[in-house]
Amino acid sequence: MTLVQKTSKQLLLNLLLWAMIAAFVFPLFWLLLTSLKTRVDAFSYPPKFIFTPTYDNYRKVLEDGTFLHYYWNSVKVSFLSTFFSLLLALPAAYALARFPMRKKEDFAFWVLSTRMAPPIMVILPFYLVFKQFNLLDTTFGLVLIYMTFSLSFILWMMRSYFESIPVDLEEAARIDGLSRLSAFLRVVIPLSAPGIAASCIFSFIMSWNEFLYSLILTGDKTKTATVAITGFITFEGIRWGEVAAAGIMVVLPVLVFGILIQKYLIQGMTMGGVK
Amino acid sequence: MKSSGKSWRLLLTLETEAAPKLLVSPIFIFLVAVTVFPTIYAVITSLQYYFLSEPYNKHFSGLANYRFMLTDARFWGSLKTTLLFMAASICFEMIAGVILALLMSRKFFGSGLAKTLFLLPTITTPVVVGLIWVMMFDPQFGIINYLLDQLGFAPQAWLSGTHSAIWAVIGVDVWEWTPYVALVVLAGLQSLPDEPYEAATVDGATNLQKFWHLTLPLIKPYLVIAFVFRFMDLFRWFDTIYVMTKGGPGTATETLNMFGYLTGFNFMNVGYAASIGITMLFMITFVSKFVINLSRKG
Repeated sequence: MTLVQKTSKQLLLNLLLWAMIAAFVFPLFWLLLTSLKTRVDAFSYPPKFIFTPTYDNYRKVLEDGTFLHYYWNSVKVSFLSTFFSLLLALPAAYALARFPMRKKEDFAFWVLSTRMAPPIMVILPFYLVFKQFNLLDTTFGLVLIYMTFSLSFILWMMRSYFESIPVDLEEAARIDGLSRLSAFLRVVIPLSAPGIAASCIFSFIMSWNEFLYSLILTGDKTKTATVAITGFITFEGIRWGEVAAAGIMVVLPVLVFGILIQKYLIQGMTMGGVK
Repeated sequence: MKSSGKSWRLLLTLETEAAPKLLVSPIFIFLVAVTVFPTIYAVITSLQYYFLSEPYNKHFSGLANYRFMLTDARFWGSLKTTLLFMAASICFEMIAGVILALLMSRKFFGSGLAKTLFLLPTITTPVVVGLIWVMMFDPQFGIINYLLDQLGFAPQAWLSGTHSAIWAVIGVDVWEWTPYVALVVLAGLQSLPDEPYEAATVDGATNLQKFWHLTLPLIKPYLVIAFVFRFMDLFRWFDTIYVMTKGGPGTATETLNMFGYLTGFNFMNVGYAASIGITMLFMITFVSKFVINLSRKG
């Protein structure tokens, strides 16, 4: 092959790749456009690409405060479940990374397997018990069940992160007179800050995106944004502009956070299987 | 007194043999409580005649729910839908994912940006994904029918067609998760050593031969990871299907998960829903054992 042929082949492949990327991004772009359209523009055929943007949809979504209330519920539940998961998972991840233990791998895989349980099997008992103890539609109930999946993620991600930190640093600190606990708190934890931040954000995104458990366990009080957004589908039809505006609001923090930790994202989504 | 105070301090500072047990036990206790307990509770519920609408009528009914399942056409239908949905989605996602990863593993302009953009479908809230596509699939105003029309194809009522609905749902899953497979495979491609390729070039191997005999075996662990995670997630998938079709039209897109949900929370038959859940647990346990054995052998 001549150089010209080679470069033009590369150019063609690049064009193909960017066309595919554009196709993958288009639906999100379309959501953004729709959120800025008036009702008439949103329901026009052929679909409009050029129009005068309006913030009306966002105003309508925020107006009566109910959606904002559910949005705040999402923030609360995602934050609390992440915080408590971290509290339980960090020590365990450290133990798995540092100590020789019997049946260590079995334990790690058991934690992973809790994630495979069919949601319908998990949720039914919780629903029945919560109903009996008046825990339906409470933040506590939802946080408890969200922890079941965020725990395993944090444990696996942080185990591999702790393993990447040289043991020598801790040992040096202990020779200087720190106890193992202080060495963990004052040496290992600060060094793992990026990993902890990434797994926190990751767990936050998972809880934020969750739908089924929230659909079943919450009501008007503690409903999260993912469930609330389906409420825009009414009997009179779907109010597309408002759905799109609410959708952008739900997706925005996830996209921002996701891009922030993109280096760790695939690692997290494969439970540390891909570094 | 003095010695017990000392041992307490040893425990608290983790300077003890028991440190690992101490560190692991909170998560262990928590997870046992939130996984073992519900499983037992679900088994018990699955052996009961139990409708939420008539709780006073709840009573032990042995294997009646399971026996009914064996003859329930709707159960077998949803099993078939689940298998079709999983098989088609995984196939498309793996093939397209590998192709995209190969394209992205070359040096090209804007590769960093491309990777970032690629993440977006995968992290987008699944419910919102469903809503976006309901909007785009709209038979009257949707952009998909508009594009088809421009290309000279007949418009379709995508989500209300008995045959098209499942493929529309599969298409959405492929859109959402192909980038994930691509990024996992890409991580594998970027970890490949150079030497075997140089040797192969010296031996006169074609690009296709190199791909088949070198690249594929070398990235196999990454392919297995992508496959296993897609498999687990597809089996539990719910959000987008719920938003797009709620299992309809009729039962055309009703997966096992959706069937279990409707049985328990629409038809109020919690006993039967629990037996569906337990059956799914058996299936996924059995299949994952099989998959793990397979990946260990190969």
